[in-house]
Amino acid sequence: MIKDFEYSAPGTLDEALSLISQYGEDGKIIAGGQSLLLLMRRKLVAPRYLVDIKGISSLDYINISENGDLNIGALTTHRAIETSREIQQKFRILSEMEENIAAVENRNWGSIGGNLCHADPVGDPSPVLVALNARLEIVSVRGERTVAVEDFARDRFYVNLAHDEILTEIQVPCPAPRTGSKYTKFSILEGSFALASVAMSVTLNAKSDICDDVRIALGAVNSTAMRAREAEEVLIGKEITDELLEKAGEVASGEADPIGDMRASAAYRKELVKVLVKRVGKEALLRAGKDSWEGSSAKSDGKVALLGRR
Amino acid sequence: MNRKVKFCLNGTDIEIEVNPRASLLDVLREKLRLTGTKKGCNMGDCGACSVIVNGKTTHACLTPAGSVEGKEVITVEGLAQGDKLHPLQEAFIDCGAVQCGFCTPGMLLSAKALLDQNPAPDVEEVKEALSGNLCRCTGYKKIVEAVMLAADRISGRVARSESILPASEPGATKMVGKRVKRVDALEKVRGEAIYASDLNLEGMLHARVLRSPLPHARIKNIAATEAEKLDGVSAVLTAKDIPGENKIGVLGGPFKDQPILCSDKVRFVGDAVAVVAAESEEIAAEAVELIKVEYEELPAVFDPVVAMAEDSPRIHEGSNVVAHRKICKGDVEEGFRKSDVIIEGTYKTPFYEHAYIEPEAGVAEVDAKGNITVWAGTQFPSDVREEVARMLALPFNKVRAVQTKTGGAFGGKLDISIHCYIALLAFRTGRPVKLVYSREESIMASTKRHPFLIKYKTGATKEGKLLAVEAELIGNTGAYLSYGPAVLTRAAVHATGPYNVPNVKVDAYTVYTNCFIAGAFRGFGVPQVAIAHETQMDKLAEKLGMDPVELRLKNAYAVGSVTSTRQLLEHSVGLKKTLEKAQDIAGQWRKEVDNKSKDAVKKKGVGVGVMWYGTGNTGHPNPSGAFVELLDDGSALVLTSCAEIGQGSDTVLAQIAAEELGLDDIDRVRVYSGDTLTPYARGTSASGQTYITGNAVRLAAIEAREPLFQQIAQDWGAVEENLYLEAGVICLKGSDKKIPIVDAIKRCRSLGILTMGHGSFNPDATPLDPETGEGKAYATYSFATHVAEVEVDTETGEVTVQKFAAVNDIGKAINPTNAEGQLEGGISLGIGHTFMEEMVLGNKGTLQTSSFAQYLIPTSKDMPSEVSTFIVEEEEPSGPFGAKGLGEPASVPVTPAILNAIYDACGVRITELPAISEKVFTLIKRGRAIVI
Repeated sequence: MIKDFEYSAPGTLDEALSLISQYGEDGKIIAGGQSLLLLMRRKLVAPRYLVDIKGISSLDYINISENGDLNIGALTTHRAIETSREIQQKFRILSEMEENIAAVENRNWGSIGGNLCHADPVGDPSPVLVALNARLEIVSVRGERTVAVEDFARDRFYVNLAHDEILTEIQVPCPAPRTGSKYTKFSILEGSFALASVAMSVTLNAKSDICDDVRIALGAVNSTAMRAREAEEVLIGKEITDELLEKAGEVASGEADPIGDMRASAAYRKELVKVLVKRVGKEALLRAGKDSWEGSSAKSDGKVALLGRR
Repeated sequence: MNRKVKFCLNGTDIEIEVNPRASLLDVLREKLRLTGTKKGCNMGDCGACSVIVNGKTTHACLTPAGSVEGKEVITVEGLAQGDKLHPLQEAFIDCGAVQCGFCTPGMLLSAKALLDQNPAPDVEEVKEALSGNLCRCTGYKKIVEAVMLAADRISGRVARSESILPASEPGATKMVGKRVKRVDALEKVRGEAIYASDLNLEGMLHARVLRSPLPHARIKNIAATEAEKLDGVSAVLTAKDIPGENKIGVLGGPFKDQPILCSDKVRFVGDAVAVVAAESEEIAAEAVELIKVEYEELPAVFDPVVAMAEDSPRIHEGSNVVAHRKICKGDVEEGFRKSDVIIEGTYKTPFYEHAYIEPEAGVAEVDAKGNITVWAGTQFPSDVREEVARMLALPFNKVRAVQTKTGGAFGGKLDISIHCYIALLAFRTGRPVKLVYSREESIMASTKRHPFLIKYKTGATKEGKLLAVEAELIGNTGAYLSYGPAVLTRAAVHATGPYNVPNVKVDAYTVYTNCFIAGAFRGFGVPQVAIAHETQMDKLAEKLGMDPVELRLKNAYAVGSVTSTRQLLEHSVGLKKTLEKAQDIAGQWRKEVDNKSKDAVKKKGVGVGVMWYGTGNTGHPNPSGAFVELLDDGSALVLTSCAEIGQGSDTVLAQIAAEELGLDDIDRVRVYSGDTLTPYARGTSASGQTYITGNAVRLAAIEAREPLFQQIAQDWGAVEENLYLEAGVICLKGSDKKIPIVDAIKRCRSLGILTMGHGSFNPDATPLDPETGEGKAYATYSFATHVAEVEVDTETGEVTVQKFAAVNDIGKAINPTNAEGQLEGGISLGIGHTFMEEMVLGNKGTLQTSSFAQYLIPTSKDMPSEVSTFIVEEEEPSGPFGAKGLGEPASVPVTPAILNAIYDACGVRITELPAISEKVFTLIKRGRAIVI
């Protein structure tokens, strides 16, 4: 049972900011409520003041600027991102990620900002946004600041956000030419929590197939989404081959620090990271326009060729 | 602090005052009394509360009431325009997409939101749109078909009168064998079907149960004063407030071992200690927290093998080994000596949760004369009556149990849950009392499937003739018996599989532990042993280099076979027909499976699983009764306590009565069921309602029409035996004499003759010998062979079932659509049990899987893209029109078929369920390590 609280539903950001700055620690923001209401029903959170910001329509938008940067209002629903034509065309990894979050009902109501602020280590948007090098705009009555998504979640269910601050916007830079990205999560049911997930964004050199830049983000294998920096090092500056991806997978798996629970052991999650890095990397490379992938996609399924050599 | 919220509900603007902590679901159900939107979990996991807000579906339970301000909300009540149903509602009825009906409103709204945006979705899009709506009954297939049909009808691609279903079977002009629409489908698609949680009586109190946090402890003291003093609390009751017997147990007699409220000891986390009734659910919940119980913790035991040891902590007075069922036939030692091949195996299955979408709920009321009525979901109204009466020391006839619409059960609603608590509280307070379990409480307190540890040894000749089977079954019944010994007995009887084995020795132990209570769950011990006998058969086939189906055919039961309890099978053994059909299917699929590329990461495989299943209780009487009355207008009333739990018994019973009474319109028969003011019926279990209650109804219908035949025969000077009924007309063989039944009834009435009948039926079974198990265990058996095709991702261990075919011998299919629905639902249950489901206990016996986010069950997206069902009608002479059981046989062979397909694909034998990807992965890796 939920304890009584004072409820307000401000219509503007300014109103909301002023309310939460008054309430301080006793206040809590609710966006879609897909996570917070569960915590409240389990009595894990019992705010005295609940500020429902879902009605602030100025925070519900998807904009792609002329230079190709993507700005998403924090209250944009998962479903809106999933079904946005522009995102499907230009930031396919985002819409694909959204497709596999819970069920349509949750995606219709839950927002991307709420998801990020909830900071569940198994959350899907974080690793994708980390791989895309996205930043967050945070506003309070005191002013504005931005923070990299990578630095936003500090620990499980704990984010870099003061009591008087509201996450307002997700800023995704336009990918460099010849950039491809891909996200995959491994879960028991489609749509259920990830046992492990990997997002990767690869940028190839304009003239060769050398990897100029890569960002590998792992989900569900640490207290927050994490960069697999050592694995990135394996790939940067090289022409990526099956063997290198395999190596990157092993390195990333070593960087992962998952817990074991009733769903999966830590060791298995690490194994999943290995496989996912390989598979995600291959797809990201294809999307980056690497056309001379040895043996094409038919063979790209045949990773056992590598295993056989062991 | 309440606030006003204005929104548009089903086209009407409303303004109401709500507490902001209320969800939209609470507002709809409790404030506006729109109970069509269901509460299945209150955690956004099940989708029973899906509604449409501004054109988009949302979980009403996760939608703060305040946030619908100014929005447009559509619930199931807003779908039909008066009597005119929405095309989706019509299609759900036409396709047989409704079973228990509890998920139906949410499904309909998810489907509507989809079709409003996408008028021509493909199957994958439909599955995606419905993936947040859990259904445990249907296997989703007919639901997806219904949405596709509705889309076609809305767009005009298919005329409304056209159905996608095949017309009635050729030649089936009568009611039996017809694809009659379910008699309860209309109220279910309209959201008007009343489940117990939808009931609200004047002056009603709300109850809550205090449960043990410890798995095993002595109760030193219960202090209730603080709770009693809380404003709004009417009663806080403990064991001492029970006037009659504080012992329940569905098996009865010495097997009643569960206190309604614990007084001396608690035996599992969740054992009930006290109950509270208060003015609101909130107050009751608060009061429960104020009750202070002093416990002395006792050593607990969770592993049944440990519990079997002499020095293990005792959970009840006597040994933890409560029952030992023995089956002995021939000489197994001799059998193994003669065997050329011996196969051994150990198999382990976990606790499974039934996961019906409707949590347990009920309302009880005492009238001025002291009669008590309990309205509740249940599979066994007659048992509710008995247990409540014993508890209150009342004559049975003062207690009335009325089964409300029951939102799925699968064996989990055979036992007493909320019933005794609300009856006791109503009895003590004099006011109506309601109790609805939360999802967590439902999972914690209800029964589970027995985990089995099976040691199995098979001996055969090199030609593949089975010579001996020896099996030891250890069943963990948890803290209380429920059906424990009966489950282990059924498992023992079925342990060999449907194969001729001359030498058999089975020992089955029912063991207490401090785990959840294990009881009945769709299959009653047979799913567990089927995993063992079917894996053994595949291992044997491999060792002998034989085709797995050929090996089974070689040993399969046929008419004339003698079972391990030395029962001669005299009729209706359609096993070989199911095997032959399955062989065709498996052969075809194998041809198409391309594993040529040895290096492929994803490997495909095909497997079969076989089962047999006795209809009705094992070697025990389990009769049902029914009354049938033919009324003046020629319509008929059927009365029986038989519980319709979504499986379709009301429809099947109506068809049986209509057939005997010569009525060609199902609406001419009304089945009033599940109320103990009607004749006694056995519980809905053991796949027995069609066979047993169906026979009772048939006999009652014959008796009801008897006076008509007598009178008309006399009037015509004819022999009664030559009269028959057809399409509402009594006819005389070899003559053109005819009289409409209505006129015949009129004729009888003019002479003061009524047309009513009673019937009862008890299947022909005999008790099993305690030492050898010898006896006629069941009157008849159903058989099945299922085929699965899987794909294994050998790098992750992930397995997907791509194709599934079920071939079941069920005798006469009274309603083929219903039968298919049972099969499809059985397949999805089996898929869940194979891959994802497992009840997990923490170190101290605490529940780790308390929600549908932790205890995962299949969604629409987990069903194979190809699911086909085939019915073999090997008619059973003692069954109504040749029918026998289906409900459980639908699910039993699913897991064995899948496990054998996994082996076929990647050479890994899963012998411990569930086959989660990590397990498959680990075994593949181990196998590879061995190869290297």
